[in-house]
Amino acid sequence: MTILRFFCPFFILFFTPIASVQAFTGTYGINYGRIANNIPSPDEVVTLLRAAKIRNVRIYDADHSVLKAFSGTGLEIVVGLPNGQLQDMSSNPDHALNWVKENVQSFLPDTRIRGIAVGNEVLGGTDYSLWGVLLGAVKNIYNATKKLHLDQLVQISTANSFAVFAVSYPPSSGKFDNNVNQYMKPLLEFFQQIGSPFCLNAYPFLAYAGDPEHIDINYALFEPTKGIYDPMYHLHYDNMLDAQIDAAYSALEDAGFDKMEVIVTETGWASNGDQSEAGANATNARTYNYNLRKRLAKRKGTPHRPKNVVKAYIFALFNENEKPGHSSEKNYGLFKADGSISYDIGFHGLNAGHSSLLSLKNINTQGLSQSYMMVFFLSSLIPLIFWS
Amino acid sequence: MNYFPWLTTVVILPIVGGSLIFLFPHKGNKVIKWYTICICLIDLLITSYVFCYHFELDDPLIQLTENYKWINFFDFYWSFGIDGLSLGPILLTGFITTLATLAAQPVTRESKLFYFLMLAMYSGQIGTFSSQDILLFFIMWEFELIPVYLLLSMWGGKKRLYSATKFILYTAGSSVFLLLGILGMSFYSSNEPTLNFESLTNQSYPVALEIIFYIGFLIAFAVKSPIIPLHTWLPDTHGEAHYSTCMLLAGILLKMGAYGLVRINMEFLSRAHSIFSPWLILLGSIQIIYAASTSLGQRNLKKRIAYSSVSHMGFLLLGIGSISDTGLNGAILQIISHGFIGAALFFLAGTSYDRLRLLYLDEMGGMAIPMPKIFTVFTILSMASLALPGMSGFVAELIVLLGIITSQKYLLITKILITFVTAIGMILTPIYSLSMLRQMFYGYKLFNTPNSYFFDSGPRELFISISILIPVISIGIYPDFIFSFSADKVEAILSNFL
Repeated sequence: MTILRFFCPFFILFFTPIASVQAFTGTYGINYGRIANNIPSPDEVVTLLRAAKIRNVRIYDADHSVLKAFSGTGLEIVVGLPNGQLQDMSSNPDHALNWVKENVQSFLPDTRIRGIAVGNEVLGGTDYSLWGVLLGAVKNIYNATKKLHLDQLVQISTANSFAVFAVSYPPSSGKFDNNVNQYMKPLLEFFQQIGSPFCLNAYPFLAYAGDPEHIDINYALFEPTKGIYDPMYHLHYDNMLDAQIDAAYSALEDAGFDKMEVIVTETGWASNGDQSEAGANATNARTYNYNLRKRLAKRKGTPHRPKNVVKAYIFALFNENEKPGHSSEKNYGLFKADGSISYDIGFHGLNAGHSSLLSLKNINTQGLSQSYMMVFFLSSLIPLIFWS
Repeated sequence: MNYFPWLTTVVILPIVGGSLIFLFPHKGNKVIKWYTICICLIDLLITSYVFCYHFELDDPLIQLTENYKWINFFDFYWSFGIDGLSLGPILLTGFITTLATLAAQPVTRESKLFYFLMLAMYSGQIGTFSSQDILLFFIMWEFELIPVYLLLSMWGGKKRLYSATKFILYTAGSSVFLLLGILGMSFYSSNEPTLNFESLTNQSYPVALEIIFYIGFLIAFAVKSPIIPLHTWLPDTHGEAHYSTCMLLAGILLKMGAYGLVRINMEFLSRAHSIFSPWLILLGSIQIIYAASTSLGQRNLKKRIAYSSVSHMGFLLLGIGSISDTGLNGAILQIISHGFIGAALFFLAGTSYDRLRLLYLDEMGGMAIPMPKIFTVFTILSMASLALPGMSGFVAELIVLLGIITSQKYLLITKILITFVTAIGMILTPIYSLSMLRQMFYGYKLFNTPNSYFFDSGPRELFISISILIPVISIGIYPDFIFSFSADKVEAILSNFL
């Protein structure tokens, strides 16, 4: 009887429901942008990511050299379908099928492709012609994964910018922009059908840089602050990212999608910027990214949705010198172009990975020599005393 | 961020300092003893300093991280770091080892080797709690078996070889399952091994595979904790070991099993833990009653205290299996609390044996009159063991029970049954504890026996007893101090179970 009781857990095994497709493991991911001519090769990036213990990676295309480099590494990757291909994918289901075959199926299962991001910040963007074709592209890509039996493995999504909201303050007032809504609603209905989350690019930095007089920088940086109070929800917010996420939840509820999860697909803080871009410096970038990392490690939800653990992809892995726009756009990287760290939030750069206690040069450059000699001297003193 | 390798320092210092003992000239045991105590104290002070000034309590991330490539061929790192889960056990290790070294004064034979082994064990234990690489965790886990085996086989009682062999067979044998689980997890998702704890935390497995890993790790940690029916090595080991070794066993070694259950089984294999946690709770409640009943029947004083330890480990299982914020915090507090109380009781049993040369309770009696200080301290710490309010044991057990009662996972009827069964165990504890006191201290059996060893505690023994009593009462009155270590980490772990 005791033996039978011991084996009972195996019976439970057969009744465990199969979990829905999960594109995210843990809570911390990173965006691997490559609009640059001087960043490390994909193989070096794999080394960097493994050393930093980052597992979730998003890319903005489906570059084959990246997908090959990620093969057999355990890293989970979301590939991107660029905006420029949306029209073609929408009007040609066969092209969508071929795209999935060439860029996803042929790399599975060794490269753990867990999602396809169809377009980036399409709705609310400046190219209005893409608004109408996004849904078609999403459906065709999904149908392609279904035909190839990958729909349980690969999650379809699209990232949205904050421009899709007409109102986002206070968080309970979140509402989709009227122009966006006619395209957003059918898209959300489809995502709800297939179990995909709402993907949000949330930047407290951009909100602060756009209005530094009225926004407390500590509120944006997760530092101690009095925060804001939402009278409708009766909730207090002590950081802006939570407020932005809850604004998205409110907009989804307003549109009738109460159960949809929100994932942050981009967030970050520039370490350098134009004169007119307030707050873009290395100190603030370090503060934001380190506090964000701690926040994500606690695996907490937001005030309005305490049970929905916040998950985020950091923007970005490297500084990218060929990005257009403000100079802040080139300076979101946790790592510089040579693979060393931009600022210290606990990660190791490419070159630091080979440091060792036996290397006296590194000891001196890191300022260890003084305190280390103190401890060594103290330890040596004791046997000398007892020897005499 | 601090860049000095503090954790490597506190891990390496004891064993390096211990190695220097063999260079000492033969100037007597006193020099060696005080040298060892100084090493322990320095290590404890360094640890306290680092934790006070370089550790953020509200940060659930791994802190004081160190990563040095050890073996390039398969990506193996000397990787240390701590969080709220390992902070308490490391401080406990430093504290108990220092006191155990002070308690070891009667050891005069081969004292160089004895003190070296104490320090080697110190290094292995802090290394286990600090390790952030699962293979390094295994190496440290295996490493500290060697000094325990030698301490037991060379300075134990009459049946020490039997007990030492049993100890090494159980613990080394169970390590096979630990290694299998480690290799399975490491090679699951990648052609190269993934050994780092932080990467493994974000791993996901098919449920069947997770269950297999869980069982492998559970067997290893169940032997160490210990969890019935894999506990039988412990009373034999405690029964034969010198009491300073018993202090290390009860105070620190057993905590590695509970630590592993939380760190690996609960954090890495959360879905399997959800499946197994009802069995852990059932096992925990059975263990509380079984061990308490068995303790009542023991004639050997140290075995009675050993079964008391086994009974208290049942509360750990309840807390870990409750999957609630309160229960898990209670389990972590119980790790710390029992570390103090168990070590203290074995120390007092040892000091009694030093005088009486008797270990069987039915041969004792009437000790209170010739030894009032031992009687007083032994009574107080027995009250701590039976969880008198105002002592740390009471707070830990109360909070574990609250964790069961408030858990979202179980039905109300189940909770009532578990609480009722646990209450029976809590009633049994004072029965065996107070009957132990009665047999030892009350009556007049040894009143007229002329014995030159019948002297009361000296300042050394009182110092050790009171040093342990102070944290026991302090934690009992203000447990938030310990909870502030673990609260954020517990929240992070439990978010896997939402």
